Amino acid sequence: MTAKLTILSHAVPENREQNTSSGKYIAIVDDEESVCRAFARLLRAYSFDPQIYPSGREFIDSLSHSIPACVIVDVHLGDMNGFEVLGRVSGMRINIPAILVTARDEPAVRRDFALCAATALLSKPVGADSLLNAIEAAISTFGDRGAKGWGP
Amino acid sequence: MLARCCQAARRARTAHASRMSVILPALTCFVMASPVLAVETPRRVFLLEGLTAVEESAQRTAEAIRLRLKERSSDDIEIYSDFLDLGRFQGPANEDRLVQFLGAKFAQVKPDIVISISRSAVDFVVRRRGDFARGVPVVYCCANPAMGDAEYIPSDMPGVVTTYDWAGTLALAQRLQPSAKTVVVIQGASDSESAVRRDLRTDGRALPPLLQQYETKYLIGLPYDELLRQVSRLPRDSIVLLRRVFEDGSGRARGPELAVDVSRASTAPVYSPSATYIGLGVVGGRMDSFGEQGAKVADLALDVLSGKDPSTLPHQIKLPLQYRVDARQLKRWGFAETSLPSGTSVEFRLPTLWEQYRKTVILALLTLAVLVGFIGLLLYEILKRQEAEKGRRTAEAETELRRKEVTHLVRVGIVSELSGGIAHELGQPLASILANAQAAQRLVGTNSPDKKEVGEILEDIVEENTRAAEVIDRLRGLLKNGEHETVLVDLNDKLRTTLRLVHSELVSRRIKVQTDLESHLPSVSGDRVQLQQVPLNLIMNAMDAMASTPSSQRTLSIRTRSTQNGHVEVSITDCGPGISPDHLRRIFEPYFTTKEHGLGLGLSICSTIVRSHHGQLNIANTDSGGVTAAVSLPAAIRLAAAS
Repeated sequence: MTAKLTILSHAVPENREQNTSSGKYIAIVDDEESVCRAFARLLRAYSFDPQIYPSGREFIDSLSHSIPACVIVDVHLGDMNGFEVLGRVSGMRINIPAILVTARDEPAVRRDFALCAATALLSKPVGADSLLNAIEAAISTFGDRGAKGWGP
Repeated sequence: MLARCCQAARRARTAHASRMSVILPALTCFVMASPVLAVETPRRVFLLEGLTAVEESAQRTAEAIRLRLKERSSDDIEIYSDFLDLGRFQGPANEDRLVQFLGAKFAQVKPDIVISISRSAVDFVVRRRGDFARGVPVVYCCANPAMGDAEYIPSDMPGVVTTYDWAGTLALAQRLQPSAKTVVVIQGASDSESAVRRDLRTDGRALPPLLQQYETKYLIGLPYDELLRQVSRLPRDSIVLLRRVFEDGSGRARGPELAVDVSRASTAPVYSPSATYIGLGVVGGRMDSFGEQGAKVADLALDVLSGKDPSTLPHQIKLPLQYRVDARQLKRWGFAETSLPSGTSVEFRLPTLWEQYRKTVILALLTLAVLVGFIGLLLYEILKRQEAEKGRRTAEAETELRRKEVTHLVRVGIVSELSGGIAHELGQPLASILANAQAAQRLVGTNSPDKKEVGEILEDIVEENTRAAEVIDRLRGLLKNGEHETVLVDLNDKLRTTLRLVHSELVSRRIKVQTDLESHLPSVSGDRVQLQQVPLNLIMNAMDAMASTPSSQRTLSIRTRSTQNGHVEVSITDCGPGISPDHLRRIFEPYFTTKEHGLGLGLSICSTIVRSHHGQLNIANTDSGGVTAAVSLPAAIRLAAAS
């Protein structure tokens, strides 16, 4: 409860832009630089505008000036894990379609995924089709608002 | 032998000039036994034997007496003897001559005691001792009880009596001839044999009732030829009982050789209760022995010599009787020794090869035994050594195999524990490669592909591929269950590899790592895989130890140092709660674990590995509350550096 209250006190930036560059802004949060770079290349090849964030903190900080159409978050991050990142985001009352990726498809990860806002959990290595489909699905789902029972 | 005895006899004669020359060389030896120059007056024992010196029973008795006297007496004892041959020389005239002769002898050398041996001599001494040996104590033996009644033998003549055990002798015959129907009793015919009849009425009183079941035939006082003719016609299954015979029906004196003749002629086995006849052709009987009688009478003589009153000594000693048989006769009649009464003394066994050539045989057997034993010992030693070697090798091989297996399994266990992390380690480069490759595909498909970007993509793909391959290499190295291989190992390198292996585990457990690795750390010599396993195990333990530590404080410190004494030290320190002294004591015990799912083998194996590399593993609590695992290994001598 305390954590939630703290999160509620977060100021929501006024000037933020959802879907900058015609809604093609995709945030990639992964502490593996090479993976980030590869995903970014792939998404750029499919005409998205990917931005790379090596940590959860840097991504959350970025939300003050721009909101991505979708965020791709690695479950295992150095500072806070993917679920915590999504928790913070929802705590800021920002709805961002989210996709989780992981190299460790473990029961604990699946359990946490079921409880979080992300619409997909993809196992690395992730193929282009899976990724693009997931992005599309995430964005359209969020268009419906609260498909996973997650609303304001 | 004869020459020597005669020589001895001559010397004896010189020493005792007037002493009557002894009859047999054997007896000369008795005389020789008495010292010629004695300081004290020797005790003189005089043997009066009714038989002749050529009779075996007389010799045996005399020999037994001599042996016992010498054995028991510390004094000088001189033994004198006369063999009176009273069986053949009878009558008052002969007795008168003997009295005169002995009287003359005793006047010259007065005996301290007279031992009267056999029935006729006892008879003579009892009646005539007053005439030639007045005041000389007398003991006797080998006389039968029919004569030895209190009236006949004076109470001051203690002695040993011969028992003729007819019942026992017949019992022996019955044992050997259970189906016999006829018993033939042979007796002599001399005057003195009225005593024998008396014996049959007294001691032999038991005989007639026993004979009732048989057809009994008495051959008494037959002329010699007739006697032999009669016995040569007996049915084979008859029992012949031979009484002592001193004179045949024609009045001729007969010595013990009568038993030889009768037995040889007889068509049925001959038995006798007389020890005189044993060995002379009779099968056997129940009797005592002359040897025992001689020994016993010698005891009596010594008692008297030591001053005891003869009349207080036992008057008629009866010796224990025993079944005695002649082995040669058993064989002749086909009797089995197994059918003899228990305790039977089987005498006169035919000398076997063993007995005839005993020394040779023993020597040969001993030599053979020693050789065989020696060979056996050598073979045994060789076999034992081979077995031990084999056993040792097998055991070593098994132990080594088990150790390897367990060590391997523990590694596999760690790897499976790390599998999530490993999947992450592999998943990352693979994800990167796939995404890059698909991006490149997409780029290449466009009209104006950005060549520079494609180049970078391919560079990244190569790099990530290398990274994935490294992960696989590390795993392969760890999972390899190969032969021990000694190489130079850089422990810093191993620690870095290990940290990469556990990287994702460290991340997900929020554990910070502080490394302080000495640059230019000397290598150690050892097995690559095993030396990877030790830091991996210790790091995993350190990580587990910090499970309950607040995440902000979870720090794993890894440090390497080379020491002055040529060792390389690795210390791995956690910030956990430490180990209780109780657990610390048992920490290297196999199967000891505090972990819920632990095998309890990790540290025990680490310790084994480190020791097999001539190093040491110490686990200790740190001052700040955690635990430090310190591995010390000898630094390898760098041949490359030296050259």
